[in-house]
Amino acid sequence: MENLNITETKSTPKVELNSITNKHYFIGESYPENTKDFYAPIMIWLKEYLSELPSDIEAEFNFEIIYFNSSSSKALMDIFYLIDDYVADEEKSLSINWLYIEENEAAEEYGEEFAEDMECVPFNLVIKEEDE
Amino acid sequence: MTGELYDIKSDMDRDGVILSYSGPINQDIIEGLSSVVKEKLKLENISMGTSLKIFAVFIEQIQNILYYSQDSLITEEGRLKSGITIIGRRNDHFFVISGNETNQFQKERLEGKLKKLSKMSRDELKEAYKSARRVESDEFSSGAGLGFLEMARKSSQPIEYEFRDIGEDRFFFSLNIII
Repeated sequence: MENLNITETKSTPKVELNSITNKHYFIGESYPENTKDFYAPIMIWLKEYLSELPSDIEAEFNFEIIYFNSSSSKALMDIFYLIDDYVADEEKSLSINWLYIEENEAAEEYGEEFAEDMECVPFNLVIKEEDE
Repeated sequence: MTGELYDIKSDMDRDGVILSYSGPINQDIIEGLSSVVKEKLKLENISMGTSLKIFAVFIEQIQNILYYSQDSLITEEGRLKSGITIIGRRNDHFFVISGNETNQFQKERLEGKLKKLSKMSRDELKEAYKSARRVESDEFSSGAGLGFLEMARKSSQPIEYEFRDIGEDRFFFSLNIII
């Protein structure tokens, strides 16, 4: 299937979903005018990708979201639940990395709260070096 | 008006206002103000955590104006919503204030939400936030109905709000969050 690439704007993150490398990235800030419109095509892509992905292929989802508003928080949760369900129900080899810089204690706390709601998928909190 | 402008500005300076905007709001304005807010907060000598809290409340409030303000003009592009937003500092605390017109129906809906929030502890707010995130959003919310929970969690003091009756089924809703 075709990769999905969305360019970063001030209020929406850069999204790189890649069915060849199986490494996926969400980087930036998220406070779109219409959260559903922004995340709907991403959910469609992910559903198709995850249903086709063989169980023995490892896939990694990297989130480096410096700031997100409350409706984006819900959209991100929906993505995490989708990934978690594919690990729980079909034993797919998926993992989620939540990246943040050490200074950003809010991002760490948000990551912890997402992690608490995951049942099966490894949800890793990763401190990122600032000068990377 | 010109004579009063300096007085208004001086009053705001005295009250610790860092930024104020009153007028029509669209996503471009929100993004533009966001850049300025971030730049200004960098000069305030506060942690990244505090700065993000202020920014988060600012975004929730201004996007509420964009979604819900009843003061709107029909333009070629659609509806142009209006409201007022203020960020300021008083000693060690920051305040984020917003105001917009609303109607009786929204007033009752908001009051119900705000009263419920005011009785909740930190842990209850966290649990309510997490469970609201799990369920489908209600039909009257553009977001997930999470905005007020988010603001309550960032607030260091009880949320202050007022609905002022301005006639003809219109109320001016003001909200003050202290961080």
